[in-house]
Amino acid sequence: MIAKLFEKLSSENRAALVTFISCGDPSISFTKKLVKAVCESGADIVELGVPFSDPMADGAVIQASSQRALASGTTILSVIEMAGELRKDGIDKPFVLFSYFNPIFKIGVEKIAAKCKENGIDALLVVDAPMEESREITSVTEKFGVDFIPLAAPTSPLDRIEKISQSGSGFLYYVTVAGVTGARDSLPEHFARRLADVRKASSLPVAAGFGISNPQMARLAAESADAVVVGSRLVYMAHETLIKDGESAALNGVSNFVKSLYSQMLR
Amino acid sequence: MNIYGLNSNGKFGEFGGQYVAETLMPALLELEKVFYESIEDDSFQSQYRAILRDYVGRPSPLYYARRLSEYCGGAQIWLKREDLNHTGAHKINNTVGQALLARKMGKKRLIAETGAGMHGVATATVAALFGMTCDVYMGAEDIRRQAQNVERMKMLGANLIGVELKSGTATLKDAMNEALRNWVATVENTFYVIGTAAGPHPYPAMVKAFQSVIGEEAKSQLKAACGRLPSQVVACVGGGSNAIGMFAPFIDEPSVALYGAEAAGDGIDTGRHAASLSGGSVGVLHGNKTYLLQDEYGQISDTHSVSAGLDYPGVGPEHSYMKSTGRANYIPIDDAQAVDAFQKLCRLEGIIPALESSHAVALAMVNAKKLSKDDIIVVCLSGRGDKDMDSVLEYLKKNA
Repeated sequence: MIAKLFEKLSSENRAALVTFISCGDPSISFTKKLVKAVCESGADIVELGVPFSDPMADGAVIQASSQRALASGTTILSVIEMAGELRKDGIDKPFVLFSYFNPIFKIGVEKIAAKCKENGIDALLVVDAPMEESREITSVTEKFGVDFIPLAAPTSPLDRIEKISQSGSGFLYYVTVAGVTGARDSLPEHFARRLADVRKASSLPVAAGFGISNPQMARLAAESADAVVVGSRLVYMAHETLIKDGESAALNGVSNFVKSLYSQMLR
Repeated sequence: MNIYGLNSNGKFGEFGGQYVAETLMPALLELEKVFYESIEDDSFQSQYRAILRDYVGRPSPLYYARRLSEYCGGAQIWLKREDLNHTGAHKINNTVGQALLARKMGKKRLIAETGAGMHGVATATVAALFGMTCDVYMGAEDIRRQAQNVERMKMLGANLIGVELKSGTATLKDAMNEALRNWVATVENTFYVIGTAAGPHPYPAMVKAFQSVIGEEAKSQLKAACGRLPSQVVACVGGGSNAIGMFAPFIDEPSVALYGAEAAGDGIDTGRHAASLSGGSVGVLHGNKTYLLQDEYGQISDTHSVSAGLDYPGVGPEHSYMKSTGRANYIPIDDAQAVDAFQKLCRLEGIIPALESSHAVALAMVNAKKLSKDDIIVVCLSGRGDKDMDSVLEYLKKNA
């Protein structure tokens, strides 16, 4: 499903818009509405973030969001079940389950892969499973026809990126900055040149993520990458608006923001 | 065949590994290469050994604790006096080694996590010695209960970064999270000095290599004094760095029983403890697969121990491996037993041990009673207890 999406977008000369949602912040019922809102506003792929008690790769916004999600009783299983409910409600955009490895490992890779398949989740992305460790996951996800999204970083040499891309399927998630997640004001230096090299090395379409926080940055990223990921900024906006102005304002605000990003995806 | 006990995947059985963000992988691969080259290299070894001798004050004594042994009745208890090292604990053995690697790799900045503060002090010390900058991450709860070490780190020129949590008490685990977050952003110029025998490969193997001096010395010192091997070797296990260093040369000596004392806090049954091997299950945290304290959905649990250095929900992967093979025994020791052993060692031997090490002393006291006078137990007295005065007084007041 993800491969087909990239074929289609490439023929339209458009980059995919990927939105990260921190599931269960502050409740699964709100998250369901949020996923529907981003899908209706132009998101091409939705990353469903599973909260973890020790999010070592995340900045302050997603750390705080994960804590709220855990406080509301969110688990990896409740996130997967939510995806199934969204499928029943007719939401048909690709879903990527975005998690640290421990929640997956604790339940069991086999069981998680089976549940993903059953509930319409298209791919798994595991933040702390680099190429050296991902085989214990991909050997299972392959059986279930679930994509495994590998990650590459600014520190990854190009020959390694080539191998990384071959270790997964769907797309390659390129982390644009060495650091944790969180909104930044501009793209890193030499972004376009690096992305061109990464795309050349990768056998998969390349999504650029980490730090992209506004339509201007999204536009620049869309010129160089096959997909653009926006995360922390959305999480922050949803939370802040929700506590200040309530649910419908939060959903509206996020919708408008996603629309403004979507309009920048056409090259 | 290799001397680190690792299989070809860089794991101890199923335990260990490199479960980290991709950003860190190239640095870990480089570190692995430099570490393997250096540890086999004579000039690196002679630099390392010279600093241990002239600066740290090694070898540390192996001391027969006669009055403690008589009090227990049973086996002879011998103490490996890591508390007499410069900076007051075994931690410096490892920070010297890692700082030498950092210098070799051209890194000018060291970062470290610390629980009790001993590893933070030891890292700040080598940073001063080698003219490097140093940032130490420490949980807010530990800053409170280990105030003396906080001042020592600052005095040594390190920058102390307190880690706060919105919910729960910030301890060693949270300090490690924050150090990893910083490392991801600074990996080009920064060397992360991990103090415990956990973390991603090659850290567990590296910490073992630099701490095995403890066991090697103890083994030859006991041979010289008594002409034989001990019946048991005992050490405390938080992440397990002093224990793995103490166990290392005895792992292939089947006649020597290996005992790790885990922090049982208020007791395993209460749920308020930090005994990952006795009360946990296998999971993945801080770059390695190992026993963890976690819930059924893989969320890491809060831990509790009177000792900040053992207050950690994971454990080094080789300990998990030795639990699974049965090579080593891991026994929970609760706060009350540890504080009692702390007081006994003070009164019977004139030695004020760290609360961490007091767990090992407590376990040795339990085991000694079951053995005969011909048996020898060697205990790793991993650190001194000056830092723990407030914690002990607080505990005694609360439990009077």
